[in-house]
Amino acid sequence: MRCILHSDLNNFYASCEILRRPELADVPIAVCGSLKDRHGVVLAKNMLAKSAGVKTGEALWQAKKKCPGLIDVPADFPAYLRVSKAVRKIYERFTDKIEPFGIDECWLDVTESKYLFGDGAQIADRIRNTVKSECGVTVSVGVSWNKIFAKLASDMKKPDAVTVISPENYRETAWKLPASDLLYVGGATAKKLRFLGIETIGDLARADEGKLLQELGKWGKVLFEYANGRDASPVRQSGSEREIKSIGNSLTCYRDLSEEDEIYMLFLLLSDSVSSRLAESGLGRACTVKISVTDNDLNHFGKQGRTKNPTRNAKEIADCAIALFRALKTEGKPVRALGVAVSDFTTAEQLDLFGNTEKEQKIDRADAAISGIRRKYGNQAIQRATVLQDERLSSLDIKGEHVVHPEGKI
Amino acid sequence: MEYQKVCLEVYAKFLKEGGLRPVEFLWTDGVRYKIERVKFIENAPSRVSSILPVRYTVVIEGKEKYFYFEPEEMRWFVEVAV
Repeated sequence: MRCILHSDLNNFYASCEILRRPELADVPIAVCGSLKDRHGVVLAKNMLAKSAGVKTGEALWQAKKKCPGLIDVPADFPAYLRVSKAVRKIYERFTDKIEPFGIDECWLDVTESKYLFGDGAQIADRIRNTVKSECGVTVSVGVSWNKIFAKLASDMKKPDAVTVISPENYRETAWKLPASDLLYVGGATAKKLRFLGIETIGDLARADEGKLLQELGKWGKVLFEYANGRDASPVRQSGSEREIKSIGNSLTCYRDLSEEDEIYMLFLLLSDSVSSRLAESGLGRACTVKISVTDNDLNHFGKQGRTKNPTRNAKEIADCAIALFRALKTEGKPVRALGVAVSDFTTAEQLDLFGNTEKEQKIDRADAAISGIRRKYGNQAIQRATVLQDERLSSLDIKGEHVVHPEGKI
Repeated sequence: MEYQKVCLEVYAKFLKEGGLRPVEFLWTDGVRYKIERVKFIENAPSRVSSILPVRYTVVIEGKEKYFYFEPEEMRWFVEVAV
């Protein structure tokens, strides 16, 4: 049997704010939108605010009406992310199977860790203590044999607590809870269940499966299985959703290129694809451009350099690439293949010492218009004049072919 | 007990093998003190405003004291009872 933990950071944003302002520990607080829009909605609250009826998502003035002493603090996501990462580092001491669920929750599969650290409840307790003593925030940990019950358990006792739902006790613990506590049972589903006379998770587990299937479709069966503790979904190994470190494209040209403007043309083509993939990735702008060159003797060369400013513009990437190419000491032989990749992503808005942001915004707008046209009419619909010099090259769809496999190669 | 955060000018060394150790510091009255020994280095919260500081348990004139380093701010501080 598996041993799954679900660890939930208690009142996470509010707890981080209390680290910064310990004097807020005993007053009701609400974490609101950023400094710029302080009048935003309540993003999170502490226990005191919660018991005064403050709800996440409501306007600050509404919250203050319910809870006159409420202190509002602006959200500082980078700080929350730092704490979240530090806590995850603690989890990593116990297992490598960690699946985050938002910034403040994680599932941990500690099945194989029991030989090192003891049973589930012992590991949960150690995690709880370590997080508190090293980071100064608290977690509630649920222990069970599947993800659904582990999550349910972590919600049962808060804050700073461990709850076990075992095959021996789940009928007395999990089954007593309202069906709406079950993960994935939202308002609409709960209403349908109530209509069927199902109030608790126990009711759901003992319900007629056929009837659930009929009323809720396939989902009904899934919930029925969940309520009975039958959930075999694995805890995803940490690092399985790898961070994107670079975005690149390369192409072996149908003919060897010897003129610099031909090479620039190919760089432009490649940069176009890289630029639009970068824009779609939401990774922001790149600070480093890397080129790879293969000459017709199959010698490989590579060079990388920083861009003048963080960029996602195709022309700027290509300009940087050709500058790198010029600086590269090839043997002067014709070029067979070229590659362009960008990395070192930043989402920070570029600040210009002399305030020339207008030009950049213009370029951004033009890029957005081009990608709009390409999205609607295909990647070939709008092209650079430079590339039109070579019909065969200009008919290449690097981006399209990068994502979609060529159809039937027969 | 209430505590106040007091940031200090600290002279520290970077070790060849990696790591940071405080060596001396200037107290608020301008007197320079030697840190005789670093006993422990742990991640631990302080009683004053700080997110994820590193706590150094140090010995100064034979007495133990916590020194905190905030990596994010590159800053040292101590807690002082008020």
